[in-house]
Amino acid sequence: MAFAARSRFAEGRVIVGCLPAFAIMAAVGTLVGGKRGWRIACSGCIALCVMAAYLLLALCVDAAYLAGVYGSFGKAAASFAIVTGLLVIELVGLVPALQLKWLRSRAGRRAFGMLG
Amino acid sequence: MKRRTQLALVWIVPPAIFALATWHVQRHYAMPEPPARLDDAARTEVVRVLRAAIAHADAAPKHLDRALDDRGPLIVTVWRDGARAMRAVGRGDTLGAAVTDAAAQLRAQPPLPAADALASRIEVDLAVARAPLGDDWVFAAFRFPAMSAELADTAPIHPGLDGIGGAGDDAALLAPGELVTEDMIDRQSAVPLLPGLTPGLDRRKLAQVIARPAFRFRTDTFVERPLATRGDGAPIPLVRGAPPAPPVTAENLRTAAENGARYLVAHLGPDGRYVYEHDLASGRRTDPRAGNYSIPRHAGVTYFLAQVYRATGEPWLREPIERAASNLEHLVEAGPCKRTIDGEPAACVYDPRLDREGASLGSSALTVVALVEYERATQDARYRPLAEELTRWILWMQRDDGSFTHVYDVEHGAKKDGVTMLYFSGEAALALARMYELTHDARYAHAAERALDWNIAWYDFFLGGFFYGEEHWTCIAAEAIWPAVDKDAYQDFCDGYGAFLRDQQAGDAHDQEDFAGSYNEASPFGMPPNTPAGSRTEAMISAYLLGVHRKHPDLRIKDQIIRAAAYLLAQQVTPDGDFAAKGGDVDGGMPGSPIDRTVRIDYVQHTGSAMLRAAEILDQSPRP
Repeated sequence: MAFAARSRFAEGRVIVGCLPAFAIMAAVGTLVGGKRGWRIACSGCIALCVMAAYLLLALCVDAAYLAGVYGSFGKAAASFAIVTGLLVIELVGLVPALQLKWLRSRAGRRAFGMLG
Repeated sequence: MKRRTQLALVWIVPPAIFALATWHVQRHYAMPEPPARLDDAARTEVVRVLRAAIAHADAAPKHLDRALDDRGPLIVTVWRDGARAMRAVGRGDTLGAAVTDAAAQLRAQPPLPAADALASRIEVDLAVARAPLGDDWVFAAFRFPAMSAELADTAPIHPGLDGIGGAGDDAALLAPGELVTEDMIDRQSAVPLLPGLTPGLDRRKLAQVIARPAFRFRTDTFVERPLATRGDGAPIPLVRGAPPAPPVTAENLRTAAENGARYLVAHLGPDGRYVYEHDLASGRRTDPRAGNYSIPRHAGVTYFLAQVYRATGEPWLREPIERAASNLEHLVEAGPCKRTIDGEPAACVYDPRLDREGASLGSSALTVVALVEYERATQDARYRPLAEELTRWILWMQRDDGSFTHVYDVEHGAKKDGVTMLYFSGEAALALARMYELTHDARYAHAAERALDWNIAWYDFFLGGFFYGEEHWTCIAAEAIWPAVDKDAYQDFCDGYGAFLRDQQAGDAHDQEDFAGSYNEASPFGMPPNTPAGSRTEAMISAYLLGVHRKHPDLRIKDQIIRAAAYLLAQQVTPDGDFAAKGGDVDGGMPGSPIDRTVRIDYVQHTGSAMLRAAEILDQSPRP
């Protein structure tokens, strides 16, 4: 994803690059297991949720900007930005949010060997 | 069942089903690899026998022993002035037998007048592989509304390469080129849920020729040379109806650009308006005085003619350029936006029949570009006052932040701020840059700089880092204003635009090698339109030259330019490939795409300008 969606701005490249990095972090935590693994996995999932929230905010701002400054073309581009936002919820935010919910549940803690 | 087994099934079974379905569809529908194409000797022999048949003479085929699966068939079309004069479908177990059968059918038809027979050209479509259409039980079994039937009519057909045959040995056949020229394969938005997947098969039209379509077939197609060059070699092998492209040399590119200019001059009316569209399949031409037209495109085309005149000095170009420019001059004189700004006259280009929204910035901007190019080419300053009036109006339309109002409300005599159009800001920036080149008036350079700064800074938002709009005029302007305005940001932007476009440029993928160098504008599943290969190449040439001027040229952009130029050379209508084009004066035209037979004036302009300037790159000549 980081290679396919290239931004010419450093900020964009960092944000897109962070997404797989945090996902890998959550995966490594899950593989490692134990209390340390649980913390790493939780950190990765929280970071992904934060990134999803940031991306949603940025895309909403972009949609407003595009709709405001570029006439009918801008309105079409704004629709694209909104669709991208919906995809961000699905592709970036949903799995880490559910994973985080599970990690914080008794079942999740037990799976990581943190209960008993 | 154990939980672990259930999990394994959940993960393994669905992908396995999809993999099996993919394998089955590929195996069932993929077109078999065709055999090697007929060589020069075989093509020559086939045409010799068929030409004898047109003259109602007998000629037995020699050395045409290649076995034919499914008895061919071999479709023979005799073309005269872009129209089908004769047609035959030969069948046989060998190529020689199929040719003999087709020749017998030609002899049975009424003979052509001797002169027509001599000037006619024989096209041969030999079916060499066949595969099912997409309407059998697999698609029938999995029907999705607005998807299955339409997809079945769209996905399997390779437009321009595949023909369609009906059930039964004597059923009708449509060769790949016939599907194109009869408009049976140009149905847009064929699959409503997949708008990028175009074009689609028009079943309604197809049913008028083939009652029960049964299969699609790939052909080895070739055509006899034009009469003037018939002795120069074997019949010409075609790919998607086009002959092989000439090599990408500066000379060939210049000749192609000049041929484009000839096409446009031949399509310029006495009143200085162009024939806007010419449908090569039907020969239909639009009326220059009525119907569809665009003033920005009229101005852009006139700019291209002046470019060619500047490069070649061909005297036949000058009067048509002046005729087309006079038409613009007339529109300005009759127009409603003449005014005085800071004590000096200003005006815009306005056509009351076309400009319903108001006077557009693009019309005036490209008119300035054309008039400046005329003066650069001729050193004749007759249009300078007009260009200055128009540029004053463009400056008046520029906002404090560098952006422009794109439309002027003629009725109320006010700028119309709510309307934003593609291209216009870049075109205005180029007009200002060109005026600076001509006059060295610092106001123009400053205004061009502010315009370019705004165009580039427009992308300064999160999503803006991931895409580019139609910025070809912006990059042309960025190069045109150098060295008066010399900024890293301009080169970064245009080099980035080059990288963005490179990702969309087609490579030589199997079965569509002829697309190499084109740009897929909207979707990799559609036909590449030819105009973007021109307009984007114009921008890339400027991006590359800007790098050369600033001592950091991006050589990847140079390769990109050459690939696109090769594609354009292959797409242009030439005497070798014009056998199915009606209406006269077609050579030098540029169709809309490899299967769109309409030539619009701006297709020729953008592609011609790209080829002309690409020749400069190949020459490695310094900027004039």
